[in-house]
Amino acid sequence: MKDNTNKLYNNTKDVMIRVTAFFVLLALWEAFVLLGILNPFYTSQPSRIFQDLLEFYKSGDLIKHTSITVQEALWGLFIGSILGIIVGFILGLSNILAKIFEPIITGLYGIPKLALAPIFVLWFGLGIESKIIMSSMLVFFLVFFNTYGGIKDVDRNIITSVRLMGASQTQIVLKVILPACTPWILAGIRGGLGASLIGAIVGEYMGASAGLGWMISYSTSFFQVDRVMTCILILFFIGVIFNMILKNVERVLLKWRPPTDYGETF
Amino acid sequence: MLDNSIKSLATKTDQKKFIVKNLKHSFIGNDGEYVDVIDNISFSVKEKEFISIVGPSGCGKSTILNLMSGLLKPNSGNILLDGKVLNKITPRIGYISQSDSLLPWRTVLSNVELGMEIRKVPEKSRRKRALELIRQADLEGFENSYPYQLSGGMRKRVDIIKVLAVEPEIIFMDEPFASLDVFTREMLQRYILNLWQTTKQTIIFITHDLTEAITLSDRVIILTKRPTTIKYEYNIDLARPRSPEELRFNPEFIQLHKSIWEDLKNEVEM
Repeated sequence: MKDNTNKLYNNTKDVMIRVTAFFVLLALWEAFVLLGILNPFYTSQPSRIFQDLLEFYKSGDLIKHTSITVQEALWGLFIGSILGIIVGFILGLSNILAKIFEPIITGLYGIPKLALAPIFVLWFGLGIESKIIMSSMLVFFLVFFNTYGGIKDVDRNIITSVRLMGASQTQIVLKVILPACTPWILAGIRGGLGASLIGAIVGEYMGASAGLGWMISYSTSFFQVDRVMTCILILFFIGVIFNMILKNVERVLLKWRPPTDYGETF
Repeated sequence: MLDNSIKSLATKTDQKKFIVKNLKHSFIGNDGEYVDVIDNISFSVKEKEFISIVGPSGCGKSTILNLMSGLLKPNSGNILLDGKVLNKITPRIGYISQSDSLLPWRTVLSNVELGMEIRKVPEKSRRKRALELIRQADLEGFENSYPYQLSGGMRKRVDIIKVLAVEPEIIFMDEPFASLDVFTREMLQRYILNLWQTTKQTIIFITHDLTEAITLSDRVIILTKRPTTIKYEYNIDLARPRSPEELRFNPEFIQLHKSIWEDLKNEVEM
C-alpha cells in the first residue's frame, strides 16, 4: 500500500515537473517576443496562439480538421500494424518466403517513402484515402521489421521444451511466439505512432481539402503563423495522448517483464 | 496362481523400457566436416529405474538425450521404447533441461498448467492439479508470481513440476542443477529423491557431477570423451531411501565414489 501511494506521489511529481517545464518554455517565448528579441510575425507568441486556439475552436474548424487528421493517422496505424504483424509472422515462420521477400521488403524500405506522397495523391485522390495509405505504409515497415526480428529472437530452448511437451505448430505460435514477440511488436507500434502522424500530415501537404496538415500549409501561404503554431500545438497534444494510451497498454501487456528500475543507486 | 502373478509382476518390473542399440551420431561442424559425437553406444534402461549418465563436458551427453527423446534422428543405430522404434517426440517423456524453460510471460500457476493446456485438459481439473503440485513443491503463495520474481531454486522447482504435471512415465533430466548453488542443489536432490520414491518414474539423469550421480541413481553409466562410447557401468546398491547429506559420510558411498572417480579421471585427463 505504502509502495502504491509512493508510486502515485512520484508519478504526480513527474507530471508536475513536465507541465511546469512546458509553461516555463512558453513564458520564455512570450518574454522574448515582448522584449523584441523574436519577431511575432515569424514566430507568433503564446498569448496569440491561445487566442487563435479559442477562435479556431469556436468556428468549429478545430474539431473538423483535427478529427480528419486523427482519423487518417489512426487508420494508418491500425492498417499498417495489422499488415506488419501478419507479414512479419508469415516471413518469420517460413524460411522459404523469408528468403524471397525479406530482401525485397528491405529494398523497398530504403526508398524515401515520403517521396511517394504526390503520386499517392494522384492515384488515390485528395480525400483521406491517400493519407491513410501513406500513413499505413510508413507504419507497416516499422512494425514488420520489429515483428520479424522478434520472431527470430524467440528463445529456442523454450520452443524446444514446449515441443517436447507435445505442442502442435499452432500451439507453439499462439502460446510461445506471439507472447514472446509482444514487446517487439509494441516497440514497432510505438515508432509507428509518430510515423502515422507524419504520413497523414505530409499527405495533406501534398494535396487535400482538410486536415491539420492542410491547415498548416494553407495558413503558411497567408503568413498566418499564429494558426500554424496552433496546429502544431494540437499535433503535440495528439502525440502526447497517443503515447500515453500506448504506455498504458504496454504496462498491462508487459507486466511480466522485470522492472528496469532497481531502486536508487549511490 | 499366486506364483504366476508374482512372476508376471517380476518380469514387468524387469522389463526394458529403453533399449539403445549401436547408436552413432555425428554433426556437421563449423568447417563443414563431420564431427563424430557418439560412437557406438548400447545400453538399456529398466522400467522405474533411475540411471545417471556421467561424462566429461562436451562428450555428447545431451545429444544422447536429444536422440532418445525423438528430437534428433540418429545417423545409425536404434532406440526402442517399449520394444518399438522411437522416431518422433512422445508425450510419455518429460524433459527437464539445464536452462530454465519457463515462459517468462506466464505466472507460476499458468506455467505449471501449460502442459495440461497443450493436452486440452479442462480448465477446472488442470487448475486443481497445478495448485496441488505447487503446494507439494513448497511454492504456496507464489502462484501468481512471474518467473523473474523467483530465485533460481524456485524456478527450477516450477520447471520440474511443470513437467510432472502431465504425468510422464519417463523423465529426462539434462544437468538440471548445473547452474545452481550447492545448497539449492542439495535441496533439489532431496526433492527429486522423495519424488522418485513416491511416484517411481523411469528417470534418466545427465550430470557431470559424480557425487550427484551416485547419490541419486540405481545405476551410473560413465562415458568416454568424444567420440563417445560407454566406459563403465556401475550398479549403485546403496540402501534407499537415501539422504544426500548423510550419504556423504557413508563409507560404502565414499569407497564407491573413489573407485569410479579413478576411472573417470583417466578420461578427463589430457
